[in-house]
Amino acid sequence: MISTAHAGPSDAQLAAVTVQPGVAGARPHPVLREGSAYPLEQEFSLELPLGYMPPPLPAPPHIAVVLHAFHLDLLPEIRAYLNHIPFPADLFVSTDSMAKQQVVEACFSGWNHGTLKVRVLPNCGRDVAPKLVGFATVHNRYEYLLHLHTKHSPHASGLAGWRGYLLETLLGSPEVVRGVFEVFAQAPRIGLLAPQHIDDLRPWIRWGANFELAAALAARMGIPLPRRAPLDFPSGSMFWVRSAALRPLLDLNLSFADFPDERGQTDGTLAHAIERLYFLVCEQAGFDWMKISTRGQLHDQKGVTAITGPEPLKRFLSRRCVRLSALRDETRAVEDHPIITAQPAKLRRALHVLWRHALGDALPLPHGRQLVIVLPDEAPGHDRLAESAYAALRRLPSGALGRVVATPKLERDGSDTIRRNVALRAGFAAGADLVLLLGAPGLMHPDSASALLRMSEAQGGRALLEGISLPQLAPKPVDDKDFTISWAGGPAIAVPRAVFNATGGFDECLLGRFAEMELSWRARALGFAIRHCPRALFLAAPGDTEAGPQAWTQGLRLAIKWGNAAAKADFMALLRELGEQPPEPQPDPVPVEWRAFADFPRDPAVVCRNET
Amino acid sequence: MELAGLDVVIRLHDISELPRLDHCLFSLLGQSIPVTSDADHCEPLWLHLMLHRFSFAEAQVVRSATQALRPLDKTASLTMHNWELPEPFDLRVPLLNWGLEVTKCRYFTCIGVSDLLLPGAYAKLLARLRLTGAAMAVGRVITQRVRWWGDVVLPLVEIPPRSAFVPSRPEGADALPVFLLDRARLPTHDLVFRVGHPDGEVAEFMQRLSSQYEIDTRYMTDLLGVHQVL
Repeated sequence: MISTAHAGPSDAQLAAVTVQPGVAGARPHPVLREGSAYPLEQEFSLELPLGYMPPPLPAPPHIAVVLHAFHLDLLPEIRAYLNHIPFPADLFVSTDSMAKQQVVEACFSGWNHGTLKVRVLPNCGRDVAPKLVGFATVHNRYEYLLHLHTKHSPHASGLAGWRGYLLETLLGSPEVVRGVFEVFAQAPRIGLLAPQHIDDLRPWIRWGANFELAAALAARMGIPLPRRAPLDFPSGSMFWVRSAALRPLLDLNLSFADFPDERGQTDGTLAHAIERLYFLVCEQAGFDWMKISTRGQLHDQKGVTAITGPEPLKRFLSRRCVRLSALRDETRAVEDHPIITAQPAKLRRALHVLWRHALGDALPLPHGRQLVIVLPDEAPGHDRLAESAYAALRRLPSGALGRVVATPKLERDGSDTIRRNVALRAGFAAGADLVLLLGAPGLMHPDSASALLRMSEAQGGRALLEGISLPQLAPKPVDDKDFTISWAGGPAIAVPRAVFNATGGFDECLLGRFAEMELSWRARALGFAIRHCPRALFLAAPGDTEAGPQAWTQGLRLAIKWGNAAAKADFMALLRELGEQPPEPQPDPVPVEWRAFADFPRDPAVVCRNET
Repeated sequence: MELAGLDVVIRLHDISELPRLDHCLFSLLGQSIPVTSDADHCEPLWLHLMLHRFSFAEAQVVRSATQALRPLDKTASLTMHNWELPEPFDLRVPLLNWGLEVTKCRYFTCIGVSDLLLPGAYAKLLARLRLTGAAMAVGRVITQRVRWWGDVVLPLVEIPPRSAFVPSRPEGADALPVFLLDRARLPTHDLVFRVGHPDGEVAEFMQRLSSQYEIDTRYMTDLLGVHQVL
């Protein structure tokens, strides 16, 4: 279970900390050591949510979220986090192609926190140029901004949980965001709040190959930057900020031409240099900055400070902010090239917090949420499955509703896919928020219905969910941060209303797992998430293999529809070997920009393996 | 008096294994065994949970945790047995032998909390015992590496280099097979688990019986279960 204990100093302990004189008035004087960022015992971060309920703000803050969307597969996750902002917020999203723009718009369709603006901008300057150049004028119109981007960190596997950590720290819950704005309200001099560095990143808090670029840019803003100046910055380039705190940078009127072309650089670009200057820019604008942490996320909790009331918060803010510009006489190593190795034990704490979020553990289920369970056709064991489904509904959280229905009979013959669509339509017409399609006789765990409904809620009703068939003989790769899978299939698939409304359900020209894959890919292309629900357990006997001419024909249809030439050739060859003809008529292809969402296997035969 | 159906003994040594127990029991509740003469009815499954010196409070937690599965146990019955004596320290073998003592069915097996059976596994083994007259029937179990955290378990999957689409085949080293024995075909003096075998007491038990009595191995080529390891 999740530990909510934390090892940081309490506010009572905080009051007793001796303040070292000498630098930045009454602020402590960090002793900078070679080979590390600030010593943890002196580098404080504010734990969010706060340990008290902040008073209501006199007026809702004027917020713009500026999001650069390069990796579109991460948008469902980011949208789910953005739903935690308890205030109106206008959303400005940049991406780098018209095709991606459509996907972004689909993903944020129905955004009801404020306005949505999606712009196609040049693919250079990583996330920094689109935000500071492409959306420069947005910074003039809003008092508060949240800088986000679709962060992948493939260059260091130890940082695999970084994005989740950043999002959890900035947007982990409405209480986290309320805490951010309590700080802004209590301390008008605080200009920027950024997540504390994740443990595995600490060795990277270096100028690296970015110093010369940073020094030149700093000079243009009037910021002296000695070569051995102390360094700290919002690692990951995501933060909450007052627009006024970025004014020196915005006033440079940078253009996209100032940024190098994108060549997959991991360091040494103007964007990386700017990332390292954010705190100094904030100080140059006359503001302070501070770092925040979310409970339980960091392995090393030293310096993470829990706050229990407004007065301790004021004490923390007055004593625990550091000004880099006041520490320029300090020295530290400049050139280091640390090697980061994955440390699973350290990642666990952060992972567990992310899992809770993804599974909806801490999320109250709104009253009246309705799950409809669709049973498969009658077969031996059908009654036991029905009984287990009713048992699962009886364990739904208070206020949630549930129904069990049979797969509808059709007036004319129709495929299972058609009948599944009929079942989905009937379920949603009856008021369901989530329809669970059970595909085979078996048994449903009593906690499965509740687990699915909670996880669906945690995903904002925008994720296609797959239950687990125990034992998992052919498990798919599951992203261990948020349970993402590439497609949802097997004996239990839960379809939320939003997915059905956007996709219209399964492609009725396809059958079985081919239809399941196709729906998943279409849902992904339309901005929905595909998730594995590890608490939704089902027992079902392994199905029969689907290998054979019908499967090859299905595979061929899928390949044609999704424009995969290699898979098309493979399935054609398999059909030719059997003397079969390609299917007629051939399906219409999906838009070209959707093709990236289809994960075709190298070996077409694996499509047809059926170990549940 | 001999009871109809089959007995399954499950040892629980540590309260922290509760989530695994939940999965294990759930897979056992899927082991419906239709009565040969009446397909609408199933043979009873008698589940015996042997607790390793649990406190009263711990035992209550176990009881409460297993309550959720009660609605599913139309043909299964779960009984908890708690070893409260201070000796011996190591209860791995005593719990199994106690399980042999308290069970009354002709057909007997034991299973670990890290084991998950495919639906119908025991029905297949029972059918083989009845068909062949063997003293014991065994079926293939493979090892699966997983990550457990609380009640979340994720099998570790080798991600293919080019695509996250490909489901992996059920691979893994063979684990100790699942077994079902017919007590009517075994003398009482051999129905005992013993300490000291390097592969453990269940391996010793199966090896000893298989060297002396007829064993049906028809399902050693068919997968009947998974043994999860961290």
